[in-house]
Amino acid sequence: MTKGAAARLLAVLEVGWVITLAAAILLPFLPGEPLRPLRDAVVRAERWVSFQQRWGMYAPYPQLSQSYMVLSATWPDGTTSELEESEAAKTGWGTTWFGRKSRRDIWRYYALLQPRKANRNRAWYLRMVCVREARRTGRIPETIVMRRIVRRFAPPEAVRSGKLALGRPRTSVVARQSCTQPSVRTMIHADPFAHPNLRRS
Amino acid sequence: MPTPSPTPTSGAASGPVRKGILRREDPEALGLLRILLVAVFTASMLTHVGAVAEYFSDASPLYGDYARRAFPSRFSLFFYVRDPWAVRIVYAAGVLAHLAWLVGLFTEVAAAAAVLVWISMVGRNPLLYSLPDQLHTALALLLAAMPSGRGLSLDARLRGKRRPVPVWCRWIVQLQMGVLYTATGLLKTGKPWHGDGTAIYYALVNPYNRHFDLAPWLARIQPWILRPATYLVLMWEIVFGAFVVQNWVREAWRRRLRGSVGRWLAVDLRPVFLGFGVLMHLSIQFMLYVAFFTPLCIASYAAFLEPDEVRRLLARCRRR
Repeated sequence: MTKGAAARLLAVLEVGWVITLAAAILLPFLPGEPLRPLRDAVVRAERWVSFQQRWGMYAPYPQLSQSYMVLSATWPDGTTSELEESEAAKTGWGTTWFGRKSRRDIWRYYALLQPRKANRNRAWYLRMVCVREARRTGRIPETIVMRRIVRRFAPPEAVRSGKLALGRPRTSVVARQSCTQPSVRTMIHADPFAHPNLRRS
Repeated sequence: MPTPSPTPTSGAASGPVRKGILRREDPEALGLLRILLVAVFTASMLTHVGAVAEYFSDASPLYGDYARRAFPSRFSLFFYVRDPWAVRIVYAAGVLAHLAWLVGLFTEVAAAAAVLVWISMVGRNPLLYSLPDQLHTALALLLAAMPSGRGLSLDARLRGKRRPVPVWCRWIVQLQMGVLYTATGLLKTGKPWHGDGTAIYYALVNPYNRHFDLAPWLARIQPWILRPATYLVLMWEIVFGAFVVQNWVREAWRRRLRGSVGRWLAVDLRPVFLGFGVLMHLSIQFMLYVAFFTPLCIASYAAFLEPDEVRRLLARCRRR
């Protein structure tokens, strides 16, 4: 290959590379139904490497309320206990700073989304809680119940006329997870870090 | 450091392409962008210290094949490397790769390794990550796809790798920021944005991430300050994409732009758009807990600096 031909080939490859990078950013926004298969294929491929172009922050609305999850476990002896997640519903109404939140808070936020619809992230979160509690205590909880405490934000004109900025807390049950159902039991017993009591059984 | 003038690309590419996206420039601007972005990536990586095994190994209660079943659409090395100590070692290698990328030592290899570890962390449990991390991942992947180690790097200083870089490298990062802002702006269709202009008020009173509990005061200033600010932010976000395109035209063809349209296209709007962006992000950072979103966005603005400007900036820093 001559020097000129090699340079031409390199230039073509470089243009191709630039187009690929620009397409990675722009193709997820392709409009219209006919282009949907292409758009979906690109989004799927990009999701595989966690490269995502969904930028819906505060969109279409900013958050108009804040919710926290409250989890309680019912044990085989009939007792009930609140789990660590419930702490935020007690202390999470003030302010926050760097270092006070962990990535677990983000997971909990996703697990609580769409409380009236099925949410597979929630289902996996609750199974994870079954394993975590079995690991921690050496006992398998019967059930985990997820409640949601929500407080709406009052509009500014209401706050100006003396109303509190955060509304009264309202509680609703979001989901129940049996930890004794066979698939969850299998997950608990196969856990490589299971509590010694559970390994013996 | 010697500063060879940028070399044009071969005559193979056609005129506008050669003078536009394939144009070469001194590598210091891209080098500075690399340093700023990778410094933020590294800081974000380091916030995982102490929780690595809990998040990414079989020590997580969502372990092994169950993690894979929970997130089947993702890739992660940690679906295969599961032992807590092995995971810690891979993570430590990722931190070292970030440091090498930061100083520009074996930059291409370091960038690839750093991005591999980062996307493995995100892929292992994407629900531990939020929007700032999404921007982190996008910028990291894009930056790793560029020759970012040719300037302001140990590769350039010790290994003789200093060479001009294509201008498209900075433009791709500009495109990413343009898409981020414009898409966000266009998706904000709700009444708090377009109607009563209460969106910023609601964002600032949310106890999930507010730094200060100032609701009564915010409610008082809402009609006079927060409402206009809400409309201004929305407008700025929507037109940011147009600013990016104007900036490309200005950078590529500023000496040839003629006539009244040309004069408008040659206006340097960066002080207005980026100045507003810096002010907005710093205000957000002051008022809200948004993790690394502000540092990432402001660092990415370095993509709008041209090599001459970076050289002047560095010369001023050296004099001090």
